Amino acid sequence: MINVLLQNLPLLLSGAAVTVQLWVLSLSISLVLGTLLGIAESTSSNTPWLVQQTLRIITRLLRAIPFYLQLLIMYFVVPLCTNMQLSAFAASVLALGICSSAYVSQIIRGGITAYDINLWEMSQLLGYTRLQALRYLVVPQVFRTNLLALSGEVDQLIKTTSVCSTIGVLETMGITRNIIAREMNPIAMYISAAVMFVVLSLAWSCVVTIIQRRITRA
Amino acid sequence: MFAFIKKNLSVVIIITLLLAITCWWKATSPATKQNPQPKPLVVGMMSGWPPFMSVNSQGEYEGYDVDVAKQLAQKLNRPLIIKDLGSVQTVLIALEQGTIDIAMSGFDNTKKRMETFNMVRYTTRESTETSVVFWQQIPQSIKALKDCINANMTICVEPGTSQEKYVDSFTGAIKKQVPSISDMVMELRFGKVGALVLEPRVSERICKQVPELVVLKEPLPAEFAIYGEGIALKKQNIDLAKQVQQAVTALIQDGTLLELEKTWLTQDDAS
Repeated sequence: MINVLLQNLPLLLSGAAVTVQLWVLSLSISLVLGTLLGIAESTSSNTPWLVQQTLRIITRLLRAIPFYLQLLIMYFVVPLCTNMQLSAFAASVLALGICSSAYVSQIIRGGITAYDINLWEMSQLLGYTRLQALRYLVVPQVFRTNLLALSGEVDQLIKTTSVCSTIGVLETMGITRNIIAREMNPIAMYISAAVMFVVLSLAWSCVVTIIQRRITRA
Repeated sequence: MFAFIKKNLSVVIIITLLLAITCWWKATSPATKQNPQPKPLVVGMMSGWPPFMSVNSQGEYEGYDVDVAKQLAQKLNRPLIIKDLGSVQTVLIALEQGTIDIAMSGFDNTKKRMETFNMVRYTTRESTETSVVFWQQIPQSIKALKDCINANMTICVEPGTSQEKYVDSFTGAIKKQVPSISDMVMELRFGKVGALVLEPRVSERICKQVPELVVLKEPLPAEFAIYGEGIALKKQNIDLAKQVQQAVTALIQDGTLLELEKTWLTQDDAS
């Protein structure tokens, strides 16, 4: 068992590296898009009613459709509609990022509406422009108060990357499945894959703890 | 760090967006953009399916299908692009959509598949029997698959195979579909199912790796027999099907396919 593990460790690590790439890239899309969607969706943001409702329908759809189906749509249907070929990796990054942004948007939206006072009105009183209000008041406040909820979504995102192996992305689970098929040593390999995910999750927890400490200190 | 991010939020957002867009742009299939001439042969496969296709310990694709695809591309005088599509379903969707030219995943040449696709046979062995696989010992009362079904045993099969259709032909059969051989072995090992029904070639291979498995072989009725494995092409893609058929025939005649079969599919014969 140990021999099989040692022999395949570089391959497993390469899978973990792909998982990290998928995670970091999709996280960038998720946070940026999710924040913008969340702000636009919140009732106090002065976004036109029609735009708000359209965005709510889109985020509702994204949350309702299973991620596996979204991945298949991104890989097979989107290239058909846009006449643009997407590699499995690119499709996975986009699908993960867009799917996760729907959840992030709800966290942000909830964070904004949770304030008793209207953050936008307050920023107006302080003489901020809308962009300044976003930069100095709304986004920092909402991220600060919803850090743990966001951290949970980011944790979920790491685990969701494993679905991408179904379209041929050789991330941790894809590589693990390949090694198992070759070596027929499933338990050891599944445990190794689990350890990889735990390590990634713990690393993320450390980052969140550091950010939390800094916020508390500030 | 947080203070830095807070102070430079817009810069951080722009940088992450740019990074994401750059990486995505780099990752979108560059091969199709760079080499328009001659048109590459795009072959869809599914890794994790040895001996047809898997990733070796160096992280490279290997297997019978990989080697045959290389030979085919050479015969057709086209550069080769292998797409690992991860699962049978996605391979078939890609074939249907035309994002791949041919699909190779050790597909059994079944009657249904031959009706749906242009199937070009690329292996020589035929399966006229099936393997019923048990964990450690064959129960005394079991002499054939029929006895397993009479004993209300759950039978594990790979979905869409001839073995599944054979199990379905028994009335009252309790079956469980599991798409991966390794997961099938796990099901058997942990008593989730009573037996696996597998193609003899597959059962021979996994029995070498998992010595606790024991095999009961039984003949397959003619309607369930497998006439080798086939390369699948879209029904409408008649010209390419003809070219692939000619190339495969040439590979059979010059002995290349037989040699590859010996290397990958019948290792005992080779050794």
